[in-house]
Amino acid sequence: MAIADPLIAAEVAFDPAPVQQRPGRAMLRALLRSGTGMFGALVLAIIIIGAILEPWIRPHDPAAQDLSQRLKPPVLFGGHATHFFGTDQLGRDLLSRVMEGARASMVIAVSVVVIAGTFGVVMGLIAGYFGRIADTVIMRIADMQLAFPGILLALVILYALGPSAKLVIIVLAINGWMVYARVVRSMVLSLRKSEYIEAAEIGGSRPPRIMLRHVLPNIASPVLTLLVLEFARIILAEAALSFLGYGVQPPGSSWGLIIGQGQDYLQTAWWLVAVPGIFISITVLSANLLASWLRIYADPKLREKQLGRQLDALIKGRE
Amino acid sequence: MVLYLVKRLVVGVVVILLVATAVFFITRVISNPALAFLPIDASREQRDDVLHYLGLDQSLRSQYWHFLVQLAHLNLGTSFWQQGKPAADIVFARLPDTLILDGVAIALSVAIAVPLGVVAALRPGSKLDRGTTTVSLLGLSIPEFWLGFMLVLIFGVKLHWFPTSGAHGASSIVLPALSLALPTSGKIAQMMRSSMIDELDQPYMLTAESKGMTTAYRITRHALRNCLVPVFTQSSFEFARMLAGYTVVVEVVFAWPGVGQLIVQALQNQDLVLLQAIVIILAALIVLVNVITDVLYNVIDPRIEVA
Repeated sequence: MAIADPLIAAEVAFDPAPVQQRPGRAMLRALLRSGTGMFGALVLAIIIIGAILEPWIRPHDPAAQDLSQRLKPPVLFGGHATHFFGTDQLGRDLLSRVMEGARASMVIAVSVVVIAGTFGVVMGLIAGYFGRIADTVIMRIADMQLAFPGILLALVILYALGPSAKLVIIVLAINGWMVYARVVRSMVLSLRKSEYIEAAEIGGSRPPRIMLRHVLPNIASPVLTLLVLEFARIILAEAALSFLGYGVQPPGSSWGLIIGQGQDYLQTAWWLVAVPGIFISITVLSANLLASWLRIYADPKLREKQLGRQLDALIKGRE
Repeated sequence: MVLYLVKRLVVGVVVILLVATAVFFITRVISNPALAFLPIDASREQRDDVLHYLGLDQSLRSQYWHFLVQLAHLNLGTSFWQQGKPAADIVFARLPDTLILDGVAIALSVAIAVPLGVVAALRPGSKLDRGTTTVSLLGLSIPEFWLGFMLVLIFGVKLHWFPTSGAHGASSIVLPALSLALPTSGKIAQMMRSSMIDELDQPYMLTAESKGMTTAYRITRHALRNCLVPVFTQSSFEFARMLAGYTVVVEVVFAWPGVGQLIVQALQNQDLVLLQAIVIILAALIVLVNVITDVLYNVIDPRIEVA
């Protein structure tokens, strides 16, 4: 579904330079040509850049209250152009609040993905490469933790230690490393037997070097896919926690928190709930689109299959 | 098989024990959980009385030992909030509502996902496939609780079709179940699509086609059965995921009187014993769901041999 035009897809798949000096650049070229993958990447880029530049580009101070302007509807629903998405119960500009919330949600999601991803990948490398006791211990812990009621425990921890954005990051990171460890381990196990790893071992390379120089680059793209997928999952988890009041705390802001604060006004001022939710959905959808494109791009077998099917569909369509 | 089952159950008990231990220590981190039940001007004696009554005046180690012994007797303590009532009783009284909600949600999501996945798989790469895949991706990208609010707005506030809160009659389950089901059905549809594509690529499907069987017959009689195994696994995984957290947000949105809402009430009333009981019981339930899935998996598909 990721590659829009099958003929262009054919060109990409049969790229005459199989050994790419710069795999990043080739990937970017393929991404530019893909339909939905590009859409996802573009929207994510806009949201992330917007979140970074938020203090300078937001139209109003998100904390500035103006009770004479409270609960004004969005522009498209009869509101005034000064408040594009309308205002909340305290007369604060919703667009500015959503932009501020984007920053918090992005910081949390990116931090969790980086922390859990790094830890999980390292654990997976160790388990897969060294095997034996390391493997047993790490995978047992991962399996057990996978059986834990994650969000529930997160809620209890946040309640007990006092909710804050920092704690949300820690809790969700603890809750998320297992997925990476499992995927990386299984890939390392199959790579472990390949000749070039053996060659590196015979050549006297030490395990850390082998893992960094030979194993890691070969598992990079599945890990990248997983990172993007987890990014989407974390955004949803953080939104749920903040919505319940055990995530980001006021005066801070996050998309989930804005929905939680606006829920009492659902009947009179629906935009307070609707707008941040649309932002959550679009962000998560973009990440999912990008991930599903990445998955197909990264796996030559899948890519070939996809291409065959598209040609098939094209031929059938012309019949 | 029996050995495998015993192994799984042992691991399950260890998981429950670890969850219980984690919750025990986390809740004891709070400096003084008993204070919430006393007036601010309570005397020193009153405070000591309450602490003694709750057993919080003993050392952490003896408290933990006491907790484990009680746990072994399946005693989860008495609630702070609803004083005197066994916490487990309160949880079990709420459990049916949560199980009904999550069960209906799973049934709904399978009912939505299977046709969607089959349609997408019929012509992989076609416009129809891309359309349904994008729709299912959109579905799994929407936060459950937000979807709940939107459904309330449209079908409750605007159209007055369904009640928007509480559990009064069959119609009140529609909106909460839908908000849990739509995101889940996105995931199951993707699973359905990919396993159906693989199944249609199998040589036996070609044989069936060459024997002149219609597409509908081939799919319903041959392919669908084999695809139901991964769909079943995914569904029970999603069921466990709901129990592990996402039922909470939806129950809060719809004031659904299940365990999810009970968690929030326990948090608000600082009822640590009840909180502990909920998490332990839900953890046990999730373990149970996983074990049952494994067993059924074996029954549905006799090719799978577990050692």
